[in-house]
Amino acid sequence: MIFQSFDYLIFLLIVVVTYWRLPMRVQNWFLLAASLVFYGYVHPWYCALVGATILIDYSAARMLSARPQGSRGRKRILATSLTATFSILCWFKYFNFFTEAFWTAFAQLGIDIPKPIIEVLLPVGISFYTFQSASYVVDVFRGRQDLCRRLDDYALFVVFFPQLVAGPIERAGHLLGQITRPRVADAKQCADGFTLIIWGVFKKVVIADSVGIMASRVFSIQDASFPMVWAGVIAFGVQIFADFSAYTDIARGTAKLLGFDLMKNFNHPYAASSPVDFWRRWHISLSTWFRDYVYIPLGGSRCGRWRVAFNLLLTFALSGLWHGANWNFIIWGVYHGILVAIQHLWQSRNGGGAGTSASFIRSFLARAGTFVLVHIGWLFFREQNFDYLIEYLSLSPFGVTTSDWETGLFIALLAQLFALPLWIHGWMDKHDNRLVKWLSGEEPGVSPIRRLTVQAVLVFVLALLITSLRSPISADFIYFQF
Amino acid sequence: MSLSVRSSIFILATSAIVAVGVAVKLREASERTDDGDRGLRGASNFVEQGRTHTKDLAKRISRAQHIAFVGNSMLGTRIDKDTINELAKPREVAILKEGNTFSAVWYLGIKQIIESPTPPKNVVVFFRDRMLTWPTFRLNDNAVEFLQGMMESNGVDPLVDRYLPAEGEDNDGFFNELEAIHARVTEPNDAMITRIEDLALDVTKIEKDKDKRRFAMSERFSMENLRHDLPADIQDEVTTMSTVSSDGYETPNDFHDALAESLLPAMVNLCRENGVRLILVRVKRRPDAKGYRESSPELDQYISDLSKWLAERDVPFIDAAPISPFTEADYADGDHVSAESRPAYTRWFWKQLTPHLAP
Repeated sequence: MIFQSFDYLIFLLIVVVTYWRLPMRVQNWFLLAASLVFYGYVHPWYCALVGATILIDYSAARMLSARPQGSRGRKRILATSLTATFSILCWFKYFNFFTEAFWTAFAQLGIDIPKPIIEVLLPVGISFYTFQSASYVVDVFRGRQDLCRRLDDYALFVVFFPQLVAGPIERAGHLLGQITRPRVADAKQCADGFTLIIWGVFKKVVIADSVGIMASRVFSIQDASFPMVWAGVIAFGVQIFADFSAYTDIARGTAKLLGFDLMKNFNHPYAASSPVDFWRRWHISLSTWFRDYVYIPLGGSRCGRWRVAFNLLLTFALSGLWHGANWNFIIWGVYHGILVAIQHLWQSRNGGGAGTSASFIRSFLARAGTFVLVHIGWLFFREQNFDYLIEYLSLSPFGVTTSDWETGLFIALLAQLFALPLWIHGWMDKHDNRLVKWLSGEEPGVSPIRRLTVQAVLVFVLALLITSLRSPISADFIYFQF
Repeated sequence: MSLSVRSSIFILATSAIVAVGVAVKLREASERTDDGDRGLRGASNFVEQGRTHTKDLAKRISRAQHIAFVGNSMLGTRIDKDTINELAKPREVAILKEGNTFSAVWYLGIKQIIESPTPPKNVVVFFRDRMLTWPTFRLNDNAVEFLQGMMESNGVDPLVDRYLPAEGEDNDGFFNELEAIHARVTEPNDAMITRIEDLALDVTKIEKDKDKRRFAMSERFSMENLRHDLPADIQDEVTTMSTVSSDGYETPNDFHDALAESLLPAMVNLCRENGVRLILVRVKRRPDAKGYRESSPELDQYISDLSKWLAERDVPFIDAAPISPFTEADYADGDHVSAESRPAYTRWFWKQLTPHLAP
């Protein structure tokens, strides 16, 4: 089921109304059932797959907690559990990719054997729930997470429908605790949830889908010129941020309507002043996952600077691979790994880092430079055909027709006009705007009526714009494919 | 003063609903003053497009023709006008293509061709897989307007009219009303979008004025210029096991069930009664399209049943899917044949067609 559909609206209405009429324990069963309906709506067999992951990790955690810390069998249990969980992911997501890679290598060596290819649909959200479930087992192993004794609660943690398909990738310490405690209906939280959902729908159907059409047009023609390709990249930059953050907003808003709080996944990433800063603001739940479960176990920042750089490179390459079984995603990950590693090497050599104050011009240049670097990365991310990728990178800005420059500038500007609400939101957040504080309830002494009035006006404007400016073509959320 | 959950949600939901109402009213007002300017996102006046298509057909069939080709982009990207004219000499050929059209439009087109003062001897219809018996495919609101535009000058055709949503009160009046409201709410305000595009066009002007730039962009992003590696626009109707669905449009899986709901018998009868030979051509979809199978047992059965049904009625059927020698390299995006391979395709196709042509 997709968030921006009429089916989902009906589903959500039924779930929310029924949910708050039930006692806590029944609420959890009801949410579990609703989540399975949501997930299995198109392909019921998806539920069997996620069920297998749940059973594997739930059993592993139970076995781990039955053994004292440091005992011999624990590592074996962890390894078995992670191998089993990630095997499911690899089978569906990476089997064909690695087979292709190995068989190409064999062919280079003159070995010609029949290639096994599986024709199977990639289950939606498998990368997200696999990582969420695996993190719980690792946390139990490390002794940082108490065992969840109830299978139904654990299953709900993995399949909780608002964030099941495209995150945020929650940690057990945050979400599982909320599942096992009773939730209280709160007017402010529900109003915030409603507003977030409308804001998310606006970002998806007005910004992401409209700008996505422009990007698709550019990347559909065979002789795109320099200004057109980079205008397409700018449009894609707006599309992917609006699209993914829209999903997160709708997920967080839905969770709030049910009395849950999901983590923030974005913090105005295009206002980042460096590649490291970008990754503190972009897909936060995934970047912190890789930090905690890959980068730190590799040695993190506790090693020599070249080893740290290698750790960063490896972590980002894996992060790229997580996005999809294609070389372009690995290149994208490695590209960001190189940027972050260079920044790390630079800072460790020059003693720079967080807390260094910068002039306005320096800060502006840092942000503009990061914006450009991130958008170069989006070209790797967007273009899956290697030949076209090379062609696009080798395009020159010289000798292009005026018509193409006009088209490129038009697309870039139009994309940014659609993105204007995102920039305004970012500016308001950065400058501690009172409106944002009202809406987030941080401004002391604001009456609930006044706050709700502001929210009602905001909802009115957004609904007006959704109805008037929505894209005629609605695409799936980009991160569904991961 | 504190607020209850119910009243908070009620207030916010009410403001959203009022906003939707205001937006619809604003759109109606802007439509009354709209000059019909076309937005770059493809929004346009579809009734006008239907009228234009009809006028265009009438103009092109006003002179004597021997063969008329009918179809959508499957025809437009396969048959090269100059090549076919050369091959067909001294016979006259008309290529009546209109992108994104479907069997209801083709039926109306055939009807118009046959009613013309000098109808052609042969009508050749190009289609993909199940499209010939799927008159409701793409029958969304835009296509409804397109058909209405087509039927304006030639009168309402009851066979086509049955697929269109009824106007006014009837047994399903309430649901029609709901559908109409839904359509008003979900259709974007083209005039508003055009204004935003105009602003961007004005700001980025270097040389050309708006209209010229719109035309230049439309040319730049035209089908002739599309990449060769993109997948097809129709994906799953060939593999679905039960009732076939694509983009929300459904058709029965079984040929005979689909036939009962289609315009194919009407097309066949119309041509036979007027002495026009109808020749049907199933095109070969993009081979080895990434991630999608070319066929399925269900589709094979469907095509076999279609073939038998047509043979019983002496309607020539060219199934290009198993015999076409063209490979993925000959295709542009999706199921469209590339401009470079079009003349070769036309020559190959002419050889397949000539044995079936009426003298």
